[in-house]
Amino acid sequence: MKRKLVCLFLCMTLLLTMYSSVNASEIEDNDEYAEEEYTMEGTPSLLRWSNVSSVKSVLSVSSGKASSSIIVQGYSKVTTIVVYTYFQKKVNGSWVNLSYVIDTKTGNFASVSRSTSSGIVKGYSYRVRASIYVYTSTTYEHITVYSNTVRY
Amino acid sequence: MKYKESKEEHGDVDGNDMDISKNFKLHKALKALNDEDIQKLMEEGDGEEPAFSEEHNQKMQQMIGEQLGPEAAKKMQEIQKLREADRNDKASNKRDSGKSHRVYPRMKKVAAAVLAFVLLFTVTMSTEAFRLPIVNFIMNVQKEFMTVNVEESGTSEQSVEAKTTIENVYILEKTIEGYDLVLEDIDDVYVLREYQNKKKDVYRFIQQVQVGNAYYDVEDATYETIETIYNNAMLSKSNDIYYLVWFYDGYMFEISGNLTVEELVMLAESLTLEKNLEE
Repeated sequence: MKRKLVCLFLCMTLLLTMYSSVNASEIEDNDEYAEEEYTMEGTPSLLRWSNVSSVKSVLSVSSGKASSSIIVQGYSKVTTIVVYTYFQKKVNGSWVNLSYVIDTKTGNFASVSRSTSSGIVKGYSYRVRASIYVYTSTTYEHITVYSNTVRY
Repeated sequence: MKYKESKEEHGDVDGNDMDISKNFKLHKALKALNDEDIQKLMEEGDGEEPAFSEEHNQKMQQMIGEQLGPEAAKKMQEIQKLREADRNDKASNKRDSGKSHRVYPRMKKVAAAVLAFVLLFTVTMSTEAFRLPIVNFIMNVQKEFMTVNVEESGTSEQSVEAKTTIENVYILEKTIEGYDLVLEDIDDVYVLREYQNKKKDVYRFIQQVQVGNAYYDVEDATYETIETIYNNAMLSKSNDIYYLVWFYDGYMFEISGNLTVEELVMLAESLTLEKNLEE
């Protein structure tokens, strides 16, 4: 009986290990929110899309260059918008950050245009992850949006 | 204009021979009638002119927009405005003079022209696909926001390739009174123009490649689709910001600001090709 229980326990452990390793390989995003949050000043808000009216996010890749544009329209209370633009490449099913840029705009509207040639090679898919912090005075809310995916 | 060029290509490539010939003649006749004859007929003499309802005029404009493109629709709109002003003047003059006169031959000519116009449209529409793709807005509503994209329906003739970079730069020919252009930003994937008045009120015009993603707040926001000369457009009100979004020539266009719906539509209908960056 003991042998059977040990065997069953080992089988379950093995199955769980395999399941978690499969899940790990399916993680699509390489988030660095913790690092961002650490550097952000002010008080975080749990609300999402309470001060953001619209966001547009576009990526275009050609001639070894990736060009992105992020346009954020906040409501009238918004005082500052901070945009982290991450250029990402899909490698073995996971999105990997190639580079990122931080832009800070005063007011309730931000238009951020960035480009990179770093790590852009043919045969991969690319996208931009925009991590956006919208301030009303000293409190900020955080949203994340993605661009279209481009197969280059 | 690129729009008209693509129209000819569509006809040559995909159409049925008989239909092409027929449609070509119809188009030539229709264009000639629209551009010259009708205007001439409307302008000559001082007789009464048949008045159509606002709804009828809008429908006609939309049909013209779909068939011959926004430029033709705008032309028709201008003609209608001239006619309306002319009609009002004449009514005023008539009241002042107390005279009543009828000019039946002129009315007949106008009625014949309008009838020919409508008939040509009917025949042409039944034999040839619309010039503009018929777009259906796909609003993917999430808990806090929604994404907006379009799906084209109809034949391949109607399809316009979604642009991945800005090739054609568009402008709004009209502006709202009191507003001046304060910012212009032309990039690989978008064009942004910002207009501001003395009170620092702002409205913005954005041209973006169609492949991009657009996210909108859904809380306290209303959304509807309205018919314009570009087929369907999305009208949204989110707190104090109005958005008018439409798709044309492979691009997404958006005008946003604290404007009325009439102002938004008026601005959208003044969309004009400014330049082709590849030429």
